[in-house]
Amino acid sequence: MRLTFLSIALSALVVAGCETTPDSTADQEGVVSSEEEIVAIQQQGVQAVPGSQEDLDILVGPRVFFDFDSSALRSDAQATVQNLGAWLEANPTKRIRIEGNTDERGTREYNLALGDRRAEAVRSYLMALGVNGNRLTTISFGKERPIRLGSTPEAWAMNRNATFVVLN
Amino acid sequence: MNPVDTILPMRTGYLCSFALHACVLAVAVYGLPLFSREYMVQPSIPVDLVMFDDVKEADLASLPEISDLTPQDRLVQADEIAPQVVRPNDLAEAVEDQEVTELDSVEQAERPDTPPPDSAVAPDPSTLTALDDLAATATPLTPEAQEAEAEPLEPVEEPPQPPLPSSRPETLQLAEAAEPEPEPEPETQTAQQVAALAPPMPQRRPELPQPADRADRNEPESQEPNRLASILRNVQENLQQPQARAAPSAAQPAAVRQGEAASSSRLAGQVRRQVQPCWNFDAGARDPASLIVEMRVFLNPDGSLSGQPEILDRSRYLSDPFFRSAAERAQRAVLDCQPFNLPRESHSLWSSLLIRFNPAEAF
Amino acid sequence: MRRVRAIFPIALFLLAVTANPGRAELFVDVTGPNFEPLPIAITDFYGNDEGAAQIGRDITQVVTANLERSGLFKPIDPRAFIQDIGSLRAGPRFGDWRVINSDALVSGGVELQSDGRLRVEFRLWDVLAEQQMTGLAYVSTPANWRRVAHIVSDAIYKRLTGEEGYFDTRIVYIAESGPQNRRVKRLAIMDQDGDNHSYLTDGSTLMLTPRFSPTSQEITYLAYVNDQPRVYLLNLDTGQQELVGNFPGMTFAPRFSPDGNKIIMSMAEGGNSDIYTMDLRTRQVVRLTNDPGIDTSASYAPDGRQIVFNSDRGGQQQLYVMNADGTNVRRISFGEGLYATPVWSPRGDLIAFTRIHQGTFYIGVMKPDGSGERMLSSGFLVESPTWAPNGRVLSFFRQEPSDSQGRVRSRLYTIDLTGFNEREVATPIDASDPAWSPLIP
Repeated sequence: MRLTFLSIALSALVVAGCETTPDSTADQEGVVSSEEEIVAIQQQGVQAVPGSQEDLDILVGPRVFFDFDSSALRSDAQATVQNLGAWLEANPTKRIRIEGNTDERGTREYNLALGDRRAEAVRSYLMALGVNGNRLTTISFGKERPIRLGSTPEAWAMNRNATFVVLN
Repeated sequence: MNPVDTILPMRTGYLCSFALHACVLAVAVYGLPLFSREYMVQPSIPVDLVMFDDVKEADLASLPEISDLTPQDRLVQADEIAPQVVRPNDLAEAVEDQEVTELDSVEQAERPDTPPPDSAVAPDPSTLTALDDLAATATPLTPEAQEAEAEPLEPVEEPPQPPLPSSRPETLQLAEAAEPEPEPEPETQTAQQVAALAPPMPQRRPELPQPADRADRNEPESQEPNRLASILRNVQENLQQPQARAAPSAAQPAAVRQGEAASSSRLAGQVRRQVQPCWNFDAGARDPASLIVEMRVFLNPDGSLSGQPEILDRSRYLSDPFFRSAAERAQRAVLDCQPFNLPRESHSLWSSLLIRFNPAEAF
Repeated sequence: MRRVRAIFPIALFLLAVTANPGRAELFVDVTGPNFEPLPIAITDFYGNDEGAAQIGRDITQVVTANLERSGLFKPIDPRAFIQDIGSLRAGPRFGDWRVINSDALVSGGVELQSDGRLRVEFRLWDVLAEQQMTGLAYVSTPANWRRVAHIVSDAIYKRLTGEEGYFDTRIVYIAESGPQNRRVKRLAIMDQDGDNHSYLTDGSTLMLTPRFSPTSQEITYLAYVNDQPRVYLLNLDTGQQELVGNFPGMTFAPRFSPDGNKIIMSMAEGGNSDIYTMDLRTRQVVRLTNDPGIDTSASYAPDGRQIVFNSDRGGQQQLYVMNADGTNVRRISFGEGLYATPVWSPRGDLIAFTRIHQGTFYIGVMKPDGSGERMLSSGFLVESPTWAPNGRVLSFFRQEPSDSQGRVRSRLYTIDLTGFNEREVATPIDASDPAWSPLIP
């Protein structure tokens, strides 16, 4: 019993280790603030409730990232959004909100518009994948909701994102 | 032959000759009306102690209740009213601040210390537009009022009164003199002017050092080094304005006889160099090129100012507050930097100056 | 023979008339002005009792600080004054003031009237010309002395520069606190000199980019209410808040039209942001731009006939000008970098903006045709210029890089349109998004 538990934990750790970790380049994906949380959940062997936010964060990833001043979905981002589409299909009652964010290296009002564009980029892609638009709302926070602290290129890369929030 | 018939024609001739000579002398002394000096521009006489009428009664009782507002008053539909995120306390604080900013109007009759109107000077169409109708009853404080005419000087009753003539310093003669101060001078000059065809070359006097306070005043105190060089600052180096310090342009030769052209331009240069340090301009003025100020200045032989500087464009001075401000700065330059150090013997050449203050090149 | 003799005096007469060297004018062309601030002596306003005298000193302090802060005046140290206030009441001894190199003199008096109201009068003197330039008096409540001091400052400023003043104004802004990822933002308001500060909201709702109405005591801003970012209107007198319009998507970047009747703003729909106006009286909504690019940050020219705005329709953020009906769109920014947040000066002659180039932010100005571009300030992050109502002074905010804990510093600054005299504005906590009010009516 203990061995099973340990093996699960070890495999979970391996899985966690296989997650791409943030590096210093602009091309980033992977989780940030909830990474520790996910590892903790997995270590405890607690399965996330299907359809919950944790479930989405583990199975899909909480967000996708963008290049500077861009709302184009990179190929890695597209893969994540495809996973998100699959998750939404698997959880047909769930609605999500896509939150568009930017880094601090732009002006406030333009960044509100850019965040909206990023959120919309994800939404359109999901709808193209067949997800019903009624299940997808968007909101832009511009540069008001950074998830990574500090004024470094790494932090900025993390803050250029569209984040998925389960609503119900 | 009748002696009367002989004498009469001769007398007529003498009379004519005498009359015309007298005319010549009169013209030489007083000048023809055609060429007389331009009417001295009084700086716009400010209104004295006028009440600033500013009623601001934010009477809370009369403000519309929310329920009283009609749709035309921008009341939103019910389902869209945002919850009151504003805490009543915060706004009460803000509104209270509004209350105390009221200003009430005051009756003019309350002002006992308003100096009575001065009949000698007509009220000037002031640029203080809101207060014009009270200007008629206010006393403009003019140099004339301060000076010889005794009537407008009422006894000092209450605080602020027009300045007493005794307070005027001796050194600066601001009286509007009809002619230059030292009386004997014109006679001598007249004789010179009438007789001479070529004036004597003015002897060069060694330049005396500038008064010390001039240099002190205009010493830039801890300003950025490029303040003068680049009047409108541009922090980005590669967009920096070219060095805009204008070299003093050569003065145009004065309209005097040919032999004096060189010395006139030298004199103009001397005047320019002495006026320029006192001339300050507003770097942020809008359209500086339109704020060229021309003024007429009369100088006594000792280089001091005779009378007030006269702004040529009087109507613009009275109607355009930006131009008036620029003109006052130019006047200050002259008032500040006088007396000027100029060769006394050529006083006839520089007794009357036409100075143009042109800021455009600096921008 | 007689005729010849008669001609001679006539000829002499004509000679004297035409050649009149005694009246010859020497022409002097003076160029190259200096730009020194005007030395001005501001004396304590006289008071008939200690209470009034204290108010008089307070008023003098505010007036002195205002004029000094403008960068155009240099108040003279009162310790250098020769003439005392008592004798000044009878009139200035101009020699005393000239000797300390003062070009102008301010004297005044404060009286607490028997009806409890405060009467303040002042006179502005031209020391060199030895005459009064202006004299005004005001009556108000004693508690209102500070506002009277600002009005006096404006009157002096206007008389000496020709421009309207800007001291009787307020600044509304966003007060910030907390680390970057948990920043609390509150709407706040204060006098332009930092005094009279108060918070208008408690920070529970995210609020951004407030702007003042040019004609009324109203503010428009963006607020996230119920997770819906929309443009709102707040009446400072009544405290009433209302949603502007009924738009299906996020509305943001609001400004007032010069006549105060319209709000111009952006709406984001389907990932595209365009510019709309809504008439506050008729509720009529007009769409002004219609292209796939981001169009935002619209600002009216003071005559209401043109609008400058920010668009990336050409690929990158640039400045564009169009007619108030949306026609004749033309680009005006052509420098290197990104251009944003344009605001048209109330004086009409300049457009201020934020520029980003090679990692540095700038506050700059350019003429409405795009020429004469100048950078006034720069830094890691400087943004969001706003004009004082006389178009002479700008306020903006400056933010420092944050540390690994997300601690960040953000402060308001003012700067003259010439690029000089940059000063920090004292605020209780961090500040951003300043908006300057018109002269208080």
